Amino acid sequence: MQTFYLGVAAFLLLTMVVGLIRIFRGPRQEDRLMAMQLFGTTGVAVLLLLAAAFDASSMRNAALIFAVLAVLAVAAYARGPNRREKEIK
Amino acid sequence: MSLAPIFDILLITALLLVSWRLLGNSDLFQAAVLFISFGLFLSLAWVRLQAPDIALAEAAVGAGLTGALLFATLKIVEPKQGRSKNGAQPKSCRLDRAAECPGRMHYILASIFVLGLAGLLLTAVFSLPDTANGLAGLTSGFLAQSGVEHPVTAVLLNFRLYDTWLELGVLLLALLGVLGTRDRLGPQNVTAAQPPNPVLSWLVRGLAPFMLLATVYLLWLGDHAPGGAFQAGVVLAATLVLLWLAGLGSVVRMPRHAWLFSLVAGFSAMLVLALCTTLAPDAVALAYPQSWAKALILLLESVATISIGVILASLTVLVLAGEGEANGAGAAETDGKNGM
Amino acid sequence: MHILAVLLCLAGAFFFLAGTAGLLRFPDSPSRLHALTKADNLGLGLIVLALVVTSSSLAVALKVILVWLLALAASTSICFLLGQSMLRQDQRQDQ
Repeated sequence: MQTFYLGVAAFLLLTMVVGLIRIFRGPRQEDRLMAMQLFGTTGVAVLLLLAAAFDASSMRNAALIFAVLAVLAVAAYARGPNRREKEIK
Repeated sequence: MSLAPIFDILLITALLLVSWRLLGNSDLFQAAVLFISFGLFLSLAWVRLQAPDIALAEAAVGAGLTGALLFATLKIVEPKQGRSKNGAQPKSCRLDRAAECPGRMHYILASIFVLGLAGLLLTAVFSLPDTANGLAGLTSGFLAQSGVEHPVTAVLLNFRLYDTWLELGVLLLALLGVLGTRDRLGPQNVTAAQPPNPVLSWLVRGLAPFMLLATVYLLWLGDHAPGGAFQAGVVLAATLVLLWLAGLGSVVRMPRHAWLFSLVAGFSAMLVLALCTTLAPDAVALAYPQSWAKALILLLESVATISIGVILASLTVLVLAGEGEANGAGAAETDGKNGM
Repeated sequence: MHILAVLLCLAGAFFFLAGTAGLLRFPDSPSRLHALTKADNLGLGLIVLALVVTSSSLAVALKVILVWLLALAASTSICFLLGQSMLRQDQRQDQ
């Protein structure tokens, strides 16, 4: 079971690496933030899987922090319409 | 178990890829998003290196607070950047387009410095003895006398309390620096430029109790497992910043005395401890009696958590509000008067 | 029990894959947002379910579920904020 969890975690990490392309390409700022948001959720899943594989509860706490703090950066970004329109296709 | 190396190689690939694109990028927004992603990957790397304390701190700082600070700074920098461009071809210098482009000399100097540093690090790594365990043996040997069961907390709050004390001082200095550039004496009555988003307020209303719970949980964990004052303080700060973003009051509504007291509580608690231990007969500064250790560590950690949380939250709120003040000078003036 | 967990895990991984594919392949930002919300919530949910059925104690299971619920609330709101921000920009473009 441990090997299986590790394998799934590695696969999820691979999807994160592939997902980086969306951050590189954009084209909108929101596209990049979406990819970042997907990384956050995938990171939570990877940490939970690693915690189960190695039976380490500290990793589960890191997942908890990821989940709780994910919203802060986007909330700081999306504050009203007071922003320059930039790099729209 | 043969899958662990694959996981590690993927992680290293991700880290290298992200840092390469992060540094070689002329789009500041993309660089900011990449930096936050870098924090996420780095946190996973610390987990794999079996340094859960650092992983927790990196998760809290890298994925949370840094992102908010970067986006806030970006909004202040961006309009100026647009004006200087004037439709001309964007200059190819990186990281700092608002200022004058650094010349080639800067890059050469910087690369000499970085190469020298890399050389020193490499020599340090290669000159490490093969079997040495660092100070881990010494720490675990004295762990029973420290008052806590987790070696990292024992080092940070007992064996090397001095370091933690000065780190709190550094945080205070950082806040003073931001206050100095903001023309006000505190975050009191700083308002978000825009009316709060209803969905965000709804979310924060639901999330804030859990975040406070996580703060207390992390603080309590520090006694016997990875966790402790710094991680708890950062989560507390993130809670306060989110509350402010959602228009639900926060450090900006704290009475001035309470705010000042929370800022200096952590630093001064250790100062008082240092004074007492210095003046006591036959004592070394900051070396407290073993029988008090547990209670003292708990007290210091709680006070430090509050200080770290309030300092970081005030700092972030001031930077976030700086955007509104840079755009509308009138709002800044009225706010400033109320703030006095 | 283990077979169930393996199936749930694989299904979760599939949804993460689908989410990433959608993020990369969909033509415009709102559709990408759509791909994202479905994928990461279902994916994380299924993996959390797999971890719950194999978890060693009730406390661990509850904690994992709590992490999922928090992530669910956060990512839903994040997607709303991003969508709203895109919409506002588009409206100002039209004016």
